[in-house]
Amino acid sequence: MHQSEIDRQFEARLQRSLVWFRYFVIATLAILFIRLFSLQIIKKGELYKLSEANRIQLFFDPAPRGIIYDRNGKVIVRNIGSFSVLFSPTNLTREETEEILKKLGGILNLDYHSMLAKVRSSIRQPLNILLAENVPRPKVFCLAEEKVNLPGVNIEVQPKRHYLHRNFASHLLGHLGEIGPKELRALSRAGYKLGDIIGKSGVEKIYDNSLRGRSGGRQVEMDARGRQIRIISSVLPEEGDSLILTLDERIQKLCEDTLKGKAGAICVINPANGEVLALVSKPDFDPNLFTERLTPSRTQELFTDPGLPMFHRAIQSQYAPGSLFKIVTAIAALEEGVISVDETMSCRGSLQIGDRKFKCWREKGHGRLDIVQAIAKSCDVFFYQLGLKVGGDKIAKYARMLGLAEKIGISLPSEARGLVPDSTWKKINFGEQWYPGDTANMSIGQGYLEVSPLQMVSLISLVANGGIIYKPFIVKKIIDGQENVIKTFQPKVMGEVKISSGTLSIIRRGLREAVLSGTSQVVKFKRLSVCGKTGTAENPHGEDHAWFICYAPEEAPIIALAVLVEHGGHGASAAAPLARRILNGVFTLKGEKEPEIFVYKD
Amino acid sequence: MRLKDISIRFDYYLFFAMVLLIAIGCLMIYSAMYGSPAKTPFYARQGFYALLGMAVIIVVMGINYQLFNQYGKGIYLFSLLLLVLTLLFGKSAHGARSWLPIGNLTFQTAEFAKLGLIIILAQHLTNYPEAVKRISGLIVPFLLTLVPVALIVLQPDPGSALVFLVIFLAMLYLAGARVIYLVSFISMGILALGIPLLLALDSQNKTFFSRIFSNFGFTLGFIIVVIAVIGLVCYILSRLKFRVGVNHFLFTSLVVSGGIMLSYPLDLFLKEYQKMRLVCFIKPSIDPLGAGYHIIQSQISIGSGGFLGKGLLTGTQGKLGFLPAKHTDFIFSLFSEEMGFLGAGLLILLFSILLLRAIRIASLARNRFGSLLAGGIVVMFFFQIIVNLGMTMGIMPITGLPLPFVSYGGSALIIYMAGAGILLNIYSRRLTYW
Repeated sequence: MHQSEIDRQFEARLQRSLVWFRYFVIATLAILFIRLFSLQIIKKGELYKLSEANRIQLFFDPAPRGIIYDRNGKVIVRNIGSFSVLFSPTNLTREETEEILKKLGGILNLDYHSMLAKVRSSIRQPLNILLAENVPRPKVFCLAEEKVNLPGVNIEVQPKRHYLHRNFASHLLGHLGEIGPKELRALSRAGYKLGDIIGKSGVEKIYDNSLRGRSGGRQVEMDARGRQIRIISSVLPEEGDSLILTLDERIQKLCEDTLKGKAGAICVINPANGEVLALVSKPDFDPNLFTERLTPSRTQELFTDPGLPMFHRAIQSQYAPGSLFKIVTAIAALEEGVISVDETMSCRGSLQIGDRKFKCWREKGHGRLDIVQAIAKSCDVFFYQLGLKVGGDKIAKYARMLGLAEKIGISLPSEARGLVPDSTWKKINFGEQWYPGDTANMSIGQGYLEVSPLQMVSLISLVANGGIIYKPFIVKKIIDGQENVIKTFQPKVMGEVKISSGTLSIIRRGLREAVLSGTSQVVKFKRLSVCGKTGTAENPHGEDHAWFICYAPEEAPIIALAVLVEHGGHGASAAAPLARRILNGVFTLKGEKEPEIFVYKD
Repeated sequence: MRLKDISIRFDYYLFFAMVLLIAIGCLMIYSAMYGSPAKTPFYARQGFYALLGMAVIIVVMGINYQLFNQYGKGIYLFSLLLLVLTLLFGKSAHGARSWLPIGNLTFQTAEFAKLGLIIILAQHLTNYPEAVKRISGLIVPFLLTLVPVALIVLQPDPGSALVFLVIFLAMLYLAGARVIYLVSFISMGILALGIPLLLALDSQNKTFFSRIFSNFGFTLGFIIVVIAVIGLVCYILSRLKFRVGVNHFLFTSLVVSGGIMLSYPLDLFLKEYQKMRLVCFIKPSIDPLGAGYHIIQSQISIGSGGFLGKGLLTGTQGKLGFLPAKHTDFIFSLFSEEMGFLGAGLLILLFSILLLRAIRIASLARNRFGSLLAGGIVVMFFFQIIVNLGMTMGIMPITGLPLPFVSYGGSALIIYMAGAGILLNIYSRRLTYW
């Protein structure tokens, strides 16, 4: 081929290629332009939001919860500052994250692998991952010095709930926890949000709305390494309102010491108005454990412990009342007029009802007794006869009138209702008719009956105060941070039982006689007149449960108490001595103000 | 040729597009590095390099580009020598030994080598215009390309090496090589690169192909099966009176098996992070905090700029450090965030002017050598522009190629300005022989 021909062909190919190349370049640039348009014009809003989300982080500053005081102004629950280490590994490479965690582990003595696992598991929301809490001050200083080398690591001071006396009144005060999905659904309207710490039981739960305050927040501009550049806006948290309880810290402490090492409950209330002076349930727990977010296993153990430390026995446990119920039977009999004060019946140690022989607790029998002596000596045979005279359904009616089988209405969650059986109930649940034996059993408080310690203290209170059922209340006042009273709680009458004064005085005499010469002699004091009744709940599965209820002083009752010792045995030997110790202590305490009347040394 | 002739026959469009791009670059480097303590600010350094580049343009325009044809071999060999010296004495940065120290300064020799390759290929293709029609004629150009590619891959800087391969392919295309050969070459490349990525993407070897390619014996068996299938297809096609010969069969088989076999050394050679970058381009969600992070953050930067942008120095993505390499590889993202669609659109427009004027120069050149030289330079610009812009906008994988004229970097800027100078030179001499 001629040289010029080759040149011509080459030139033609080149020009053709260049034409295609030009098209290709134009097309490519057009694609880039379209992509630019799509990003900056069409997707602008979405991507702008993402850039703002990159830049601005929201930090919640939880409000300090209100303080809880006892009736005398002693602090029971308050808040302390606690240092937490938070980690936001956004914009860190994996290697950097690992290196930082290693450094942190060295400073805080934490396990590197568990921290890494925690960071990995929150990779979807890699913001403020809690790595350590309650970090002691010296270590916080170490961290602060190393801060430059620890991008993404933040130290936050947060108020932490502190229960001063650990296990003290734990069931009554309650514990805190992170809001659960159910609670969130129910409370989201009230301004609760995911991750909030709320009261899970006790006063912390019931008065959560007052205690929690309003959490504040900060919008912080952060750089890619998680360093704070500036605060864009912030809202200061509002401290929660404080509670002044009706509880007397000294009485509560006394009761707790008294019941130490046992399982059971003690309720102490003022029968004149329903103020709860002490409410003890053992075994108990330390609510401080629940304020630690990182060690849930320790609190899990509490829920699975066979001793049921989370169970609030004072209001939730339900046992047969035993002889305490004789008060109810006696009231029913007197009110129905089936017995008068001078009528007597005899006890020979047992009573044949149908084909069964019902025994008295005293095998020898009590001989002839009137109703006062029967209450004092707690004669079973007397009450079998009395019960049969009244009739089962009548006794049940009076029991309900006196507040049994119903929630009394204490301001605490999960109060037990108890159970008072009657013929209808038996028909429904057992398909059987009500036998006289059932009446006999019920008359002395055994059988199907179930009551809670709170119901028993309410029963003895109404005897003391003349038939008024007060709402047992725990919070006297709600005050704000400046000590302005926001709300004062007044005694509330839940029911007034129509009992004639004659009946009441007979019952009171019986209870007083029991202390002087009957089953309750343990609580006999020289200078304090106590009225009380022992009870023993038969327990087919083991040792019987011991009961004791009483009020004092007889002439102007200021205290009513119920003691339950699970598996304690007899009320007289297991529960009454505890009541003695409490009464002794309480009136010595009272004695600080009125020594000439109540000072008593055991 | 007198100065007056030059001024008349000067491509002002290309020149001023370039000057504007460099000015935008300096401005954005100023913004990117605002507040960072440096003895000499980066934008001032870039400005200094730009002045140096202007001097280079003047020098380049003063000489007849035919001299490059004359001294092509020398320039090429010198560029290879620099690459070898870089490998021996170079300084490392970002895991690659790409910088040759000269006194206090460092020089990125790969940039110079790009020009060297363009010149030697233009010279070779000018001298053997007919050779490219045959497959055997591709061997010499390929070897000429392979030497600098190998030296750069050893640094290792696969992103730059890719530019050489693209220059090679494009210049052969312009010289009239048969497209089928180039397509085959690309297919081999895709196979060789695709298989290591497949293995990286599916590290547990769950899929059929990754199970095969992770075992050498299976791979050999697979190649034999594929060749058999190709043979069968060829046979059937020939029986159907299509003109399919033995050479077609051999060629296709060679391409497929060659690609698969090449994937082995490539798989060994590619670093894990490089594979992950490419994998993340396909699936950014695979590692939102790792390699995928750059892709996502860059798009957020660009998109959040909107129509008017957040304003100079006020881009939050760049200022707060969410955008990586914001004065080099991702300078376009920063620019788009702060200047918006208005600015970024203008930038693409400027690049379009530059490229289309340059293509016009290639087409108008006085001779073959000029056309090929201009073509090679255009391809060098074009490829790096689209790869960089595409990368920042999330439609190309992250290759670590800077944006010509805009990104910070002295050697690259001077070399690209020299390239522009050559284009201007070719344009001004389009009507003369001297």
